[in-house]
Amino acid sequence: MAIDESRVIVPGAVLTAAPPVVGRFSDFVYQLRGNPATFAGLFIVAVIFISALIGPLIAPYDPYGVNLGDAALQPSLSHPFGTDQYGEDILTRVVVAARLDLLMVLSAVVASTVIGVTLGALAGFFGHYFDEGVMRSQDVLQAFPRFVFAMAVAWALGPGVVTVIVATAAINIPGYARLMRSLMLSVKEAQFALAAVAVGNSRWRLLWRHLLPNCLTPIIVLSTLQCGFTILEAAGLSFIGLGVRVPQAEWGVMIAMGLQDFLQGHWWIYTFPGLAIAFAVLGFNLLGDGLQDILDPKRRRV
Amino acid sequence: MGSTRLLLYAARRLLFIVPVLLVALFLTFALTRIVPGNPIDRVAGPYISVERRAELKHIAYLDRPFYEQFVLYLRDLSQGKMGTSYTTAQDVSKDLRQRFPATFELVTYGMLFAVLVAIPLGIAAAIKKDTWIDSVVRAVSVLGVSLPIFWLGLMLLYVFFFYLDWLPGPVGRTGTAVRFAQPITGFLTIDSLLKGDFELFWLAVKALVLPCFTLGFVAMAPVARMTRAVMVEVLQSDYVRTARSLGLPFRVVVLRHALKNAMIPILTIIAAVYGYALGGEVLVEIIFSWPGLGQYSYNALLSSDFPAIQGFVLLVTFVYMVIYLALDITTAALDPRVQY
Amino acid sequence: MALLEVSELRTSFFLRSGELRVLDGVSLEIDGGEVLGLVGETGSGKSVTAYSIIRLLKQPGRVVGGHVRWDGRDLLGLKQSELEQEVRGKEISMIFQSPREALNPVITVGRQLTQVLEIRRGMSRQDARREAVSILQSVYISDPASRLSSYPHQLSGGMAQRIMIALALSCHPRLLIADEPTTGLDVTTQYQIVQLLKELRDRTGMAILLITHDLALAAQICDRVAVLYAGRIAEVGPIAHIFRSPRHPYTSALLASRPRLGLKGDIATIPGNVANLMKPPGGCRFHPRCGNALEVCSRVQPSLESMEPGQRVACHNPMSIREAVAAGG
Repeated sequence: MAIDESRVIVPGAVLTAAPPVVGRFSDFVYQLRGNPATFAGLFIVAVIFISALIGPLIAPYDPYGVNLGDAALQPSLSHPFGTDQYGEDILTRVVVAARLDLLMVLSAVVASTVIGVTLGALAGFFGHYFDEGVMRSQDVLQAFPRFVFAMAVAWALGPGVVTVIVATAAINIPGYARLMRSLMLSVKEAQFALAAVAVGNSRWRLLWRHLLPNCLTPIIVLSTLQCGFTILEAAGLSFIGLGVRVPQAEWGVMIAMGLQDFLQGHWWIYTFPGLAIAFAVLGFNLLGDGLQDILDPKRRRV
Repeated sequence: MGSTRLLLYAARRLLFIVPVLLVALFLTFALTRIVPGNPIDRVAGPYISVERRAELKHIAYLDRPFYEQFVLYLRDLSQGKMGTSYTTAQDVSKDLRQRFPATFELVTYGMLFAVLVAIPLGIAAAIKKDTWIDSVVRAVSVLGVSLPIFWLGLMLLYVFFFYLDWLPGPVGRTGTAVRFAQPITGFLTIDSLLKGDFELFWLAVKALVLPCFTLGFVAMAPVARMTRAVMVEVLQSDYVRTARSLGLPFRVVVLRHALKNAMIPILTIIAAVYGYALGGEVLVEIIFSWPGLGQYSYNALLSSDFPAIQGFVLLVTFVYMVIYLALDITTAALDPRVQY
Repeated sequence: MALLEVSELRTSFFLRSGELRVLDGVSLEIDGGEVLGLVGETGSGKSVTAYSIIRLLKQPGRVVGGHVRWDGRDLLGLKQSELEQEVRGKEISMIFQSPREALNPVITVGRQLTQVLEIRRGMSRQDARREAVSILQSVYISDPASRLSSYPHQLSGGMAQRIMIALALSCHPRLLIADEPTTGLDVTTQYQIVQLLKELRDRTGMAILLITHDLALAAQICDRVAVLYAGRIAEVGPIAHIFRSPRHPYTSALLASRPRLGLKGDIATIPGNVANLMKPPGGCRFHPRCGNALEVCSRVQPSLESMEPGQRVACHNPMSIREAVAAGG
């Protein structure tokens, strides 16, 4: 395969082969093949998504089917993950919970990305008082330890799905704002931006069509990683009782239920939901790290 | 790089905390007031007399307008009072002071463990990049970042307490034995040693193992990752190449040249992780029934104890800001390129 | 026997897409006290040669063949610890491009110097300090005592390079490898650095391997010059001979492409592109661009052969003396 000279990182070496005529997708697959961890991440995330989509449809039991006769059964063939203290099948609930958790997490990440990126982009682009104001407000938001802030917001708003989304989104906004702002500042002075202005682009056009696309890559990476962290925070909030409440099928809630029964030794009630969380977060982390490697031209596989 | 200039810088930054803290305080205050319904009603229930209700409201300043409540709170705060807890019936500041040592001991040992493990691991992984050591460190790190901290605590409790019975269960700082030490430092481990009470010392250590490891393991992961990343970059730098070309032993190059440069981003992430730990320890305390600030805040949330919640958030935020201040000053001291 | 003998040195960079053969049989010698210039374009492998000699190649580079002998000792086979303790700094030292980046930004210049003196020459802190001051004086740093507490970012390019030289020379090596020491400096400073190197050579009798793409610079200080193209030595000889009568077509083209005063018409360029090191041309690596190319050049790699006393060329069809003299000057 011909080699693109911009990817060679050997000091001083200059290659003369023509640039590759490979499409972006097969190039992406090529990168993935050299990075098994990333591929694993992608696979895991795909599993979670599929689980979320079709899980509730193919699940063997009713996730809210209370059946005290079957309470707290150990894992077995009929209940691979066992049952909780209300007799609900845990495997079913774990799979169904994927939908709820994923929904909350994606909403939160999308919300915080959009808001944070907008704030950061405007702050970086327009500068002066607006910049100062936005950045000071982010300073205040970031003064709180993340989870404590989420706890406070969640408590103020009362338990529920929307609360979790708002609380976890709120703590993520400053990260995006800062990132976007610094990206915007560096890109604003870049050569191609000056060129675009020189040929007569208006400011808005410059912002929208020229500058933003170049800032996309780190944002995508951050969002992917953010999905993982948000799952942890959402589960944490629900665990404390500030988010989704018992008896909803949500991973954090299920762990809380497992805690209630801890001294009886019914380990499966909290183990499997926790594994699900770890699995999901691991997937997003691997994917996010891998995306960073792939999308950063300096770290690409050559 | 005069130390007086550094002190002045520190003083300036310290002053900077005050306005941010004020705004943060205001935010917290506002948050607690969003909650629908009257705190007194929520706590006291419907069976108290109208006069008593009014009296309680008056004590808690709830019959005044919002901004006046805020100002009054500030005034009380300047006198060291943070309002009366609805559950413990004493001043929140006293509650916090009583609960603080347990949490401080837990978080300190946890973070210490995290840092003392993470940095050498990260350095080793960087030096032996792309070997099995590197892979193990990276795998452990990515795992540590992915585990829910409360779940990890439960799993460890199950294995080491329930199943193996090696370590005490979730009943607090001294296991099931009810022992106290006259607090000198607040650290049970240190105080018991100072008293020569080795049995108590041992109890305290055993009770600390699981919660500290839980907190420490999750805190270690991001620090190890950052250490590795930074060291890899630094080891590729031109100045490390110069040092090696002069025949300086590799150990010296790593510890005195490379690490010094790597320290700044590493310290930054340690500060960030500390913030995470301040939140995570709430979850840890719940799991292990640890009698600290975390459990206090949990109970306060459940019982809508407004002053307690406010006090907790304030204290934790203040500690976090101080950590960041320490980071700023240390960075300024370490990096001669920083202007101050 | 020469002080440094490099024979058929081969170094490759192992990328995931293949092996980049950067050096494909480099041979050169340096005698005690002489200045050898290693000249070539960017990407020819000059710096890689230097790093290969003292074994400071960055991943994914590796020496894959050949020998490097220092005073008869095989350098490539030495253990890391022996290399560190006995050779680097004490026998062979190196100075780099971009001196400000090559110095540790968070340690004072003085401390970097005294550290080397303490560790490598076993001096005490006070002795090291005094010696550091005297070393700085010998490289013409003004007010050396107060310079000791400066940080690299506070230095100018020229001063930083002097500090680098001071560091490199602090343990009295017998060979100094100078990798593009003046690139990035203004012309006046360049001249000063070169003069400094000459003076140091005269005073200490050390040898210098000067790596540069700048022919004029080489002319100022080198006794002999080796021309490197695509990982192989094309020509080597006394500097006057090379300049006045280059025998290798590449060397003569290189000389012809220099901008010169009084030049009428366009500057001559060398047609084609630098060789692809992943799939280098068969035979002589220069043959696709060579005006003198014969059929044999595409099959057989030429080896260095003596033309005149001291001048060796690797070419199947070197320029004749008349052509060479016409091209040179």
